[in-house]
Parts: sequence; structure tokens; C-alpha cells
Amino acid sequence: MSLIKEKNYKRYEGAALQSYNKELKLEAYFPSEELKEAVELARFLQRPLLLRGQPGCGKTRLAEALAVELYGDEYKKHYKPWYIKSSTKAREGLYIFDHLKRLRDVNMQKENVDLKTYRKLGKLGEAFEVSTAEKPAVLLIDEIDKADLDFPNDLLRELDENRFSIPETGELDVQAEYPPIIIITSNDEKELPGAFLRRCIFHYIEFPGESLLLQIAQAKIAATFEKELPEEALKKLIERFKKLHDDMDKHANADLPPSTSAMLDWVSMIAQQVSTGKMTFTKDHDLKDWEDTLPFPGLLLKSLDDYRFGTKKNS
Amino acid sequence: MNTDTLVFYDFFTQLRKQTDLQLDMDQYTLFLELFARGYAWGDKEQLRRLCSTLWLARPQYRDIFDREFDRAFEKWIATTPAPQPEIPAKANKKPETTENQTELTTPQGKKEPEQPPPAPPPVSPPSTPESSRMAAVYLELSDVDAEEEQGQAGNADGGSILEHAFILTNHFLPVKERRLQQNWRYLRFKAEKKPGTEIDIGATVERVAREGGFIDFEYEPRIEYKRVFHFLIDHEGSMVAFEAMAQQIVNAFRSSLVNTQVHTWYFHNYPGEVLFENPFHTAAIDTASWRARLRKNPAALFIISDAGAARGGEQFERILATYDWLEATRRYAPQTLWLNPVPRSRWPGSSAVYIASFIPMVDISKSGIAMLPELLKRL
Repeated sequence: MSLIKEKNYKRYEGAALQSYNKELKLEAYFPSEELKEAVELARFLQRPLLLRGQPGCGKTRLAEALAVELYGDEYKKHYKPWYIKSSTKAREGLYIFDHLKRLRDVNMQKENVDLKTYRKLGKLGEAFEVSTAEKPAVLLIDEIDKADLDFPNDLLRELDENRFSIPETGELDVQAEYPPIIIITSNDEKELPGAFLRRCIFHYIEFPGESLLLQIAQAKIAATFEKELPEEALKKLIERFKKLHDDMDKHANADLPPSTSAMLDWVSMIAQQVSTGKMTFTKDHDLKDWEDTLPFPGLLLKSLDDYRFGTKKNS
Repeated sequence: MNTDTLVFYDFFTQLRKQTDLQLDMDQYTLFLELFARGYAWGDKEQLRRLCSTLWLARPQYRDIFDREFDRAFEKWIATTPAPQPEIPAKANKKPETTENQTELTTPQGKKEPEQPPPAPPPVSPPSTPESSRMAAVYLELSDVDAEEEQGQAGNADGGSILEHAFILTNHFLPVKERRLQQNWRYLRFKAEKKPGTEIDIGATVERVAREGGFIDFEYEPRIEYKRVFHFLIDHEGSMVAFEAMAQQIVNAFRSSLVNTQVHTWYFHNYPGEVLFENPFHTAAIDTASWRARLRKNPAALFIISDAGAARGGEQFERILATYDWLEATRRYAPQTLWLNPVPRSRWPGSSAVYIASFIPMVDISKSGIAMLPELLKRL
């Protein structure tokens, strides 16, 4: 094993997206210390980082935030997101060959056509193509558990050796000059094969504590609204949200505790209502007329059981 | 090789034994090399995170992981020889430790990090006295148990259930029906391929190229998912508390898979010579005929039973009888899995641990259920 070989290596500190980036239109992202450490290990060991955590906890956004930190305005050149669907095949990530176009050209008796014009690289292929030791690409394989059970195993060789072949064009060795930084996310709906897991390193994104939630909410409101919510009032909203989340998390009858992203929608909705004067705060920084009832429960409670649970407790 | 001197090797092997994390030596070597280079010398928690990042592929084993890590760490502190004079100065000072790490991760890294001693001294706070440490672990485990019990259909203590009149609903089960259905869907294995109706353009073009002209289309194969599943449900006795749960699992299964036959059979304690067709024992089939049915019509098997974990204690008669029964059935139904309604943390000290050593067993929790498709596929 070697030291990190990336040239111009700099540690991911999560500094680039501490607030809304107007030019790139990207919202703030606050990684925990543990997550930064896991990213460093993944780069050090050149192994995919498998991220898990509840839906909406910020798994998918890490890769983009990392790319922005490394490459700033030019991050799109180096950031390759591959969003997996239930029908996604491993080969689609490498390349797609346009058979129909080729058939048409054959029928039109076009000659001397370069076969490479019929193939288009997939996201994994693109990441291999652009990744260098100076500027390693950042590849996101999002929600890998959505695909067929065999999908992760079909990628083993490519992820191990950072190379693949395209038999249709005779390209037998498409190889990455330097391995891309690979971030894989999973919602744990399905177990992943052991052979795949042993090639990865792992991190579970825990639900953020109140201070981090407050930071996230402040950044969101600052980016969306001209006028910010008073800090004390926002603190109370976050406390309320966190309590609901924790109650639901502990309670067996609750289905899906609200996520961080649901919290952002909820706080934004309240901020919007406050900015238009439809809601106000009391002297104690509570929402006037909403002290005992949960406002906009539909934004936080996503199933009928949860709705009953969340609204009953507060009414 | 003397494995006693290897840092955390015991911990690593315990993880391998107690979980199905499929760890191999490559993963241990990775740890050792990182550790030897000074990574995670900061403190105990950093070391825990390093091990977890490298080895803990499945978050459901977090409890076992933490427990074994604490044990290993304590042992390691106790057995680490007195540090060399110059080492503690380097490792104990926080800024220098950081510098050491930076050195590791900077690309320039002109000089290789110094070779550390085989077992660098820990920088963490001194270990707590044995008794209080044990008490802390005990309390931690009790908390986990208490939380997990909250999710069960009722108290595992059979007596108290009968004393209280209440309705058993499936509202408080550890896995919601929706989640069960979601997971069962992944059990649709491709059973049969038939010619389909959608044209496979790539294959058609390839055929044109191969045959020199267009003759006919190639079609995408249509995949049928027809499967047969047998549920063998342990009931009565210590399973009374889990009957609603077992029923919920079967119902979720029936409602989420099409083209699937689901059969349920009942037994008490462990499957024997006879399986009952209903919980009232009004109709039965002898196991030999049942196995003959399996031979004609292959199926996957799910056994829902606590395997003795609810009451605790190791009953060797039960273990041996279960072993014999499973061995005799295995040739007819190689895909057999055991679903245990009692949380994994309660298995130690009961027959369940032994039974889990010869048949894949998961607890009925979100993570346990999520493992089923992959486990079934491995068999």
C-alpha cells in the first residue's frame, strides 16, 4: 500500500459549500468529521466508499460537494453522477453502442465509418476517461441497491482494475490513467453481495444533532429568503423537529422518521409563511397559534401511520 | 505466524466468527498497514472508526462490533508493554500526532513515515477499572435489549401475556408490513426465460451481421418469476408472543408476489415427523410425504422459530433433532432460511446460536429481512 498518490492532493474539509453557491446554484453541505475522515481513507486506499444512512440524510450530495471543493467552477468536468434504476445494467455505466445507427449506416452503404462513432461512454467510462493523478474524477453511483442483485458483482472487475473493454469497436483496454474517487450510496433496501462489499470501505451517516441541523437550516434559509428567521425562533423549530424525529425513531409504530431534507422543506415553508406575514412568532419564540399543533405535518410525516402518530402527539 | 502479537487480530477473528461479514485477510492487512503507519493513533474512538470503516460492511452488526471492539481495546491496553521512551512523546502530543497523519496523506511525503513499534502505545484515557467497565458494557447491552424488546409483539415472558387481556395487532412489530413487501419483491428470482415480444435491437443487428442479411428479429427474453415458497411456522409455547408477527410475514409475502405459491405448515418447538396444515392441528402431513412433494416441486423454505432463544438455555436434544431434520430436508430444499423473531443479541446462551451455525439465520428486523434475497441467492 502506498501513500496518497493524487498529485496536488488536498484533504476534503467540507469548506467549499458552507453556504449557498450562487454561481453554481448549489446548496450548502455540512459533512461530519467522521465523514471527512472516511473520504480521506477512500482516497488513500483507492477503494469505493459505500455510504449508508436514512433517505434524505445527504448521501448523494457528498460526491458533488467533494467535486466542488476539489475543482470549484469546473467541477462538472470531473464529477460523474450515475443514477441507478431498477432496470440499469452494469454495461450501461461503461458504454452504450448505437446498433440502430450502425444498421442504418450499413444499409446506406456508408463506408470507412469509425466504429467509435457508434459508442458513447457511460458515467463510469467517462470517469475513467477524464481521471488523472492531478485531477481524479469523482464518480457517484447512486442508490446501487435499486438495481438487480447481480449488478454490483457485474462491476467487480471494472472497479478493481479500473479498466474495461468494448468488443463492438475492438477497444480492448479502456483504462483510467488514475482511479476515480468512487462514492456509492445505498438505502439498505437490499443486501449487497459479499464479494462487492469486501472491495469497499463503509460509512453510515448518522442523523445530525441539533446544532448541525440548525446550521443546515440557517444556510438553507439564508439562500432562499432575503430575511432570515430570528435565531431563537429557528432554534425552537429545530428542537421541535428533532424531538419529533427522535420520538418516531424510538417508537416501533412509526414508519419513517422525517429526514434532514424534509426538515429543510418544513422550515422553508414556515419561513415563507413568516415572510408573507401569515405566521408570526410569540415573545417566547414559538409559532403563534401553532404551539400545540404541528404545522404542515404533510411535509414531515409521509405515511398514514406516521401522520396519525405525529399529529396526535402534538394536538 | 504467532497471531497473539498481531494488533486486534482477535477482534478481527471474533467479527468473522460472530457475524457473516465475509472478512478476509486482505481487509486485516489493510488495517495493519494503516495502523503501522500511524493512522488512528489519535484516540480510541478514531481507532474504532478506522476498524468500522474498513470492516463493518453491515450496520446491523454495530452492537457486536462495539462490544468486541471494547473488549479488544481493553485487552490491548492491558497487554501492551511499557512504551519506548521516545514514542510516547510523539504519540501523546496531539499536534504532533496530527502532523504525523498529515505526513501520511500529503502527496509530497518525501520521507517515509518512521517504522512504528509493533504495538504503539494507546493515547486514549487509561482504561477504567474492570468492574465498572463491565458494568458499563452490561448497561449498554441492557439498553439495547430494552429498545429491541419494545419492538416485539409482546413480552417474551409467556406468563405476562396471558395475564393481560389485550389485542395482538401488527402495529408494533419491528418490521412494517410495507417494508416486508418491499423486501419480498426482491425475491422474485428469474425462474424461466421465454421468448418475449420486445425486439432486442442489438441482438438483431448482430444476427444481420452474422447471417449477411435480415431474416428475422431477435426478441428480448421474457422472464417469468414463478416460485414456490414453504413457510414452516413454530407456534405455541414461547412462540405465542410472535404468532401475529409470523402471520404478518406470510401475509406480506402473499400480497407482494404474483405468480407465487405460498404454503404454510406448523410445528411446535422443532420440526419433526409430522407437519400440521393449520394452527389447530386438524390436518397433518408426514414429513416424508412432504419431502416427496418438495422433490417434485422444488421450493424455497422459510422456518419461523425462536430456536430456543426466547426461553434461553442450550437444549442439545433440540439442537440435534433440528440438525437431523435439516440435513434430511436439505437435499430436497437447498434454499432453506431461518427467520428468528428474537433479536440476534439474545441468541447467545441459547440453542439458537448452535442452530445458526448450520443454517443461515436472521432476526426479524429491518436489516435481517433485507439480507434475505442475498442469503437465498448464495444457497
